Parts: sequence; C-alpha cells; structure tokens
Amino acid sequence: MDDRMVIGRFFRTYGASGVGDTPPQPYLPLINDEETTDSPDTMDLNIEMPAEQWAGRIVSEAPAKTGEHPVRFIDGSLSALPVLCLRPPEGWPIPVLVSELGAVALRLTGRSLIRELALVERVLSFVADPFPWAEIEAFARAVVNDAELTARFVPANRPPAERSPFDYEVMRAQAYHRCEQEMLNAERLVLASDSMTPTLVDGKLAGRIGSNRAADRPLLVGIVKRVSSNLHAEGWRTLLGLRPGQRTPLFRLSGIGGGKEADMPTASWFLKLVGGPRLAPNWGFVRVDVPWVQFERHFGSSLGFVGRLSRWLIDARCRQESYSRMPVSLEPIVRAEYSLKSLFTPFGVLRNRFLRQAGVIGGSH
Amino acid sequence: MTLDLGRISEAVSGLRCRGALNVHQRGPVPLARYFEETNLDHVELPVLTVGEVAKYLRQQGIDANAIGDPADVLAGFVFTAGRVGWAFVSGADPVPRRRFSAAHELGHFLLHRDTMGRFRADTDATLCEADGEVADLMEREANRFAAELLMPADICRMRAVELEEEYDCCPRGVLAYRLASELLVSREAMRYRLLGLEVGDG
Repeated sequence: MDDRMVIGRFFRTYGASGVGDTPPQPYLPLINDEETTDSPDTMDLNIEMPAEQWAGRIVSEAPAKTGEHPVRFIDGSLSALPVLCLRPPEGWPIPVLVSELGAVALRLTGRSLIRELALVERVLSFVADPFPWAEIEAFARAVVNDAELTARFVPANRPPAERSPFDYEVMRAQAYHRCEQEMLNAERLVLASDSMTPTLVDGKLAGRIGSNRAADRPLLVGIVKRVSSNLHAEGWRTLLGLRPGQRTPLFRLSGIGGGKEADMPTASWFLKLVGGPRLAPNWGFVRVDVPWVQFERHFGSSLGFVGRLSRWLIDARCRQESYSRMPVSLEPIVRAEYSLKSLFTPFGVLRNRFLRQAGVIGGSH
Repeated sequence: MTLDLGRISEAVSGLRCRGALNVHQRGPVPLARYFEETNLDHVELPVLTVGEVAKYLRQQGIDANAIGDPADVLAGFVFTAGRVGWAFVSGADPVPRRRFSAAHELGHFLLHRDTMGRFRADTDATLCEADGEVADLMEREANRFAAELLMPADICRMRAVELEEEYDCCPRGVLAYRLASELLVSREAMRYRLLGLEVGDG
C-alpha cells in the first residue's frame, strides 16, 4: 500500500479531525518522565563559605583570560502545535502535534557570531500507546518514508495513571514533552560535534554530557534560567538581595538529569545580570553551572576564575528591551535562537502541507 | 549453556529473505509482516493473564485447558496449534515494549516450536529488553532473536556512519535515542544493543 494511503487510512480509522491552536495553559509538568522531571539537586552550600554566612559577592572587573570564557554557544528551539485530534476506541482525545525543532551552534569570531552548525528536524508526535502496535508500526514507516512530509514519528507514552487520559491538555502535554526531549537530544548532538572549543549551553549540563567527557574538553558552561526551590533560607535572602553585578557564593550541585542523579556535579552560582525598580526581585538572575571536574582540574578551584567568567557573562547579557526574557538572557543565546528559528517553516504552511499530505483536507484519499 | 547464535541469525535472515533489508529505508522493521509470513497471529489483550488468554483461545475454538493458573499475570504468551499459532502481548504496555514482546514470542515460535510443547508463558522476569539476567536458555535465545530482528546491526551501523559523516561525532546516547524512535524500540534496549555491537562513542 502507498505510504500516503497508510497515513490517510490511519487517520480515517481513528476519526481524525482538524484542531486549532491551544489556548494558553498552565504549565503541566510530567510525572515520572525520565528527561524532564525536575527532581531537586543535592546541594553542598559550604564550598566558598559556610551556608549560614552566605552574602552577595561583588563580581570583579578583571577580564576573563583565554580559555576562561565561551566562544561557542548552543541553543535549541521547538515549535510544536496540534493540528489533528484522533479518537481511539476508548474515546480519549489524542492531539497530533506537528513540530519543527532543532539546535544550533554559533561561534564567536572577532566581534561576530557565525552560525557554525544547525540541525533542524520535523517530527510528528502523539500518544501512541492506545493504538495497536502493528498500526503504529505501519504509520511510522509511512510517515518517515513519505518524501513530501519529510518527518519522523516520535511516539509519546500514555500519560501516567495520576492523570486523566480524557483531558486533552494532558495528551497534548505528553506529546509536547516528547518533542522537547527530541530537541534536547539535538542539543546533545551539537554539543558533542565540537569538543575542542570553550562552549556555553543554554540550560543545565546534567543530562547533556557526563563528567568523563567534560574532563577532556575545555570550558563548558550551562546557563539555567529556572531556579529550583531547594535553596536554604539564607541562600534565598542572599539571592533575592543581589544587585546587578553580584553573585551568590559558589556551591556544588549533584546534577539531576533524566529525573535521576546524573554523572555531572557542577560548581554553580547565581549571577545577577540586571535589576532595578522595574524588575521583580526573583527576576534578572541566572544560575551558572561549570562541571565540577573542570572547576577542580582545569581552573584549580579558583574563585578568581569564577569572578572573571561572571564578569564576561555580565558583559554578554542581552540588552534588547524588546526581547521578553532580556533580563535573564545572554546576547549570543538570543542570537542563536533567532538564527535557528529563521530556519523553521512558517507553521501555517507546515500545518496545511501536513493536512493535505494526510488526506484530511484537499486530498484525494 | 551458551546461545546458539548461528541458529538465531539464521532464523532472522530467514524472515528477512523475502524482503531484503534496505538500510537506506527509514522506520521500524515490518514486524507485523513477519508475523503474517509465519502464520502466527498477534493479539493484544488489555489485561494479559493466563485466564484471559484461555478465554480468547476458547473463543477461537481451541482447547486451552491446563495452560496454567488463570490469575497468573504474563508479559507475553505464545500458543501453537500445528503450523499456526497466537502470540499474546499486553495492551497496557507501551508500544515499544509490546513490539519487543511480540518479537520475543515470534522467536519462541520459530526457534523452539519443536521443544516447548503447546505454549510458552513469559513473565517480566523472563522477557528482558536489555541486560536482564535470564537463566533459561530458551528465554535468552528469544530475547536475542527479538533484539536482532527489531534492531538490525546493519541499520545501527549505517545510522552511526551517517551521524559521523554529518556531525563528525557519534555519541552512543544520542544515536540510541534517535534509533529508538526510528525503530520503535525502547531506549534502554537500544542502548544495550549498541553497546553489544560496539557502535557509537561511549
């Protein structure tokens, strides 16, 4: 049977109907998901000073030396929206997400940021477990070999028992998180493609690389925007009281990746990039992660290095007022995001192409 | 007792001989087609117990007495009746796990039909996608068969070469992730397979 007929037949069998954009929803964290669960890291807060004596540290003006700052910047991006809704025999609404995702690496050359490597992929995702495996197998083969769709099928798991499968948003979130995992994997690949250059990754390092590999490469920095809540009381007081150009004392994080402790302990600290009366106190800072193994072996556990890297990061902060996450962003990462998104197909075009290929609109199937 | 790797490879090759494996074609191996070619039906039951299997077989007009305690929970089950048979998997399992279980039962059907009697019942302990320690030789052979069938070595190596050519690297974790979704198998099974094949950078 022709691939497109297989796809069309699958959609007809399960009553596929077009769906529009999903209205803004509250964040729905996954339960027991191996890639995205935010388990709390174990923290050793007594590295730079005793935890109960924490206070903001002023970042020195000393410039970073060669090898102490990143020159390669990696970011991932994802555009995923539901275009169809399927109805398996159980009656659950299962949205089919069409997504474009990828990762990009920019290199700092002189004063320019050059796109060095970009990976963009198109994927189709939905919760596949309610369907017979043989039909999913045929569907996956048909999708990946359809020359016009040029998409991969990535099956999302059935939601955990704690969540109602009749909740459309639960099903949508399962597929969306699956696409996020694909994006993370694309970032891992781009990170691994050059192990000789000091690199900064937008996000945490745990789950992207292990200590052994980090030990053999030059500086690696992770910039984390979301702050976990397991800081001690003095830590919170210090963090919320930081002024621009200040940082918290350094601490050691165990590194959680894939929902469990990963082999990536980091030397970490919070760094206040911007502040002022127009910003909330819990905004404008990022967490900086450097592999512990590098902090110890490459930089001799030097707090001078911490200060110099912090200064470089502050200088590289985003200054575009029009960018919504400006207070927690670095200019090279913002540029990487723009650079990657420019390679994505406009979503309306993607949606219509998919619906036509799937025989849902305007097709002959 | 050691695995008869030659016999397993021969059984896998026998299935593939009618439609030669094309490493350039993407997607999961056509397991359902292999079932059709071997006169083995695959059945997904929402709850896989000995009792439910017996009930299904009775509906097909098959005498299914004495196949075990009806309350026993199974991970897979294969029942033969002459040259035909039924392979049962649990519909509650994720798709990759169901495919592995089905391939495992297909392995029993092809490799052990003459020695296993009328049926073979598998539990989570005997049906291992990755590196589980299974004492029984027949179970190990069926697991190995499933791994070779669903995760062909040639495809694993070809995708590694493609990754290496395009990105100058081939991290095993990344490759396992991509291959697991392409071949519709679990990530754990894929990681273990790549490790065994020594494909990808550790």
